[in-house]
Amino acid sequence: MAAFEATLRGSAALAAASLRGRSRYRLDYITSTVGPLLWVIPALLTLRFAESLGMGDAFKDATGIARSRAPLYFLAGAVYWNYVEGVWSLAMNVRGAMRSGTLEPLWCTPVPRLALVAGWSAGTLASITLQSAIAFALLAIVGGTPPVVSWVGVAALLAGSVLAAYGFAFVLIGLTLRFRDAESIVSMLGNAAPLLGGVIFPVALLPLPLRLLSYLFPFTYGADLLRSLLAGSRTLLPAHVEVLVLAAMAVVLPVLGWWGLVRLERGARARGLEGY
Amino acid sequence: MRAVLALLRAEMLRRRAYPLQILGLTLSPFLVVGPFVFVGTMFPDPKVRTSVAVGTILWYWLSMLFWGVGFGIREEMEEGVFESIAATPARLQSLLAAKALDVLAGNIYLTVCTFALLRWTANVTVAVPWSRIVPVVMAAAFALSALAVAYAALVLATRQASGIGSMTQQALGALSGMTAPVSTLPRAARWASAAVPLTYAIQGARAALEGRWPWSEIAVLAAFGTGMLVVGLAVFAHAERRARTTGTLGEY
Repeated sequence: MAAFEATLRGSAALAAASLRGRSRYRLDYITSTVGPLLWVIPALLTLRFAESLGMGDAFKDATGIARSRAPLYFLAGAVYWNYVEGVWSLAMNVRGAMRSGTLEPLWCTPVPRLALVAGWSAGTLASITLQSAIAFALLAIVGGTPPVVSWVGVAALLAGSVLAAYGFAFVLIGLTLRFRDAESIVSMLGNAAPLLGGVIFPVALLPLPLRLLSYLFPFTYGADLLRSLLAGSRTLLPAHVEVLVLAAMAVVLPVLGWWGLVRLERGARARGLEGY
Repeated sequence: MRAVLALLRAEMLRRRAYPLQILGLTLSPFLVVGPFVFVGTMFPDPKVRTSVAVGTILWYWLSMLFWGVGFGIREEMEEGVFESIAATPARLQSLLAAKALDVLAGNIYLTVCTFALLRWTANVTVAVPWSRIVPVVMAAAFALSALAVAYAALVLATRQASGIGSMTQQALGALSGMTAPVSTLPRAARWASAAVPLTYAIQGARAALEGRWPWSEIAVLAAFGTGMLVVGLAVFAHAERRARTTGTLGEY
């Protein structure tokens, strides 16, 4: 019990440090709240351009939904990737601790790794939820209110996806410990995900080799389901199959990711954690 | 000049130390602009996807300059070498120049790679009229670098401006018509877009690819770049003086 309390205290201390960091750089925090909309606006402008050339109907052909739902379609994908990438970017906390020379002392504390990750996550997830709420509120103000939506379903889908994203995050943290350079790995994976998962477009438009990768990429189905729930677009696979895929990856990926982290950390410890 | 070359060499050595960055430079731009180009592939006319590709790649140039030059000095602060560089007889502006040259070389490389990947994946084909495109790209590089210097001044003054940098960069992208000509923007946004140098860079590049000489765009980019460089360097010098006076040069 005492160990559990100590773990909680360690986790809460890191969460507090993370929130203090946000309050220290308030301008960054405020400006990041409109993040998801910055995916949506360029996509909508492309749609407008195509309409001006007389090709507006092509959107319905590609997605199965009316043009009026396009803002929701784009926003659903943007919100989804915001959550997934937010969890992946936890590796940047490790890199940040490396840069500021606090990683080794932090790693030497009795706080378990999982508690460290939970502490770093708390601020990130709260911030992304706020960003998403603001994005939907802004959309509602300009007339893009979702139809009747099962918000419980949306929450469950996002929770499952976040769990699965931890699987990747664990490996990224391990790679950061082992190879030091997290920016390149995280940003490349973070950039590849929206393309492979079709953040603002149907993955059926990808060429065959990329489409195959996209079908193997588990988060494709989460983004697809969220768009279907919020905007009513057609899904790649029957919805219940996509739910099963999501549930399976929410269980399997964190376990595999943890195994990877433990192995990579062992290698990193052998070479020393200081320096970058 | 020797200082600029030495700092440029340091930037190159840093790339060698982190080889994954080269791989990132090869693939990341394609991965970032790809989703926008694939929205363009929903529509049968290839003009849409080509227009999106040109606009988003030039927007990526701005992004690289913002993070590489503007926010680049923050990296030096974090690594604890900013104060040491400032203590040498070289001016801090040399650091900005070295970073700008490094990023511009990277931008040329990423443009070639990204067009090759977009050609393969999204069937984006462009016949490049070199005599027209080179002048507009040089003018764009100058104007966007000047904007990045102004951003560096903001970073030096405020220490942490990544949020505002990210939002400005995204907002400039939307306003400059990176995915669609500015004529498709709402009227108020069109007025704002006229004040954004990226607008002229994108318009000029699209015009050159369509076979027109983009003289007016080149002139605007040159004028904007000169003005912004003067203002940016002045603000940077002011922020530097203030930081030296308060002894907070290396703080962030």
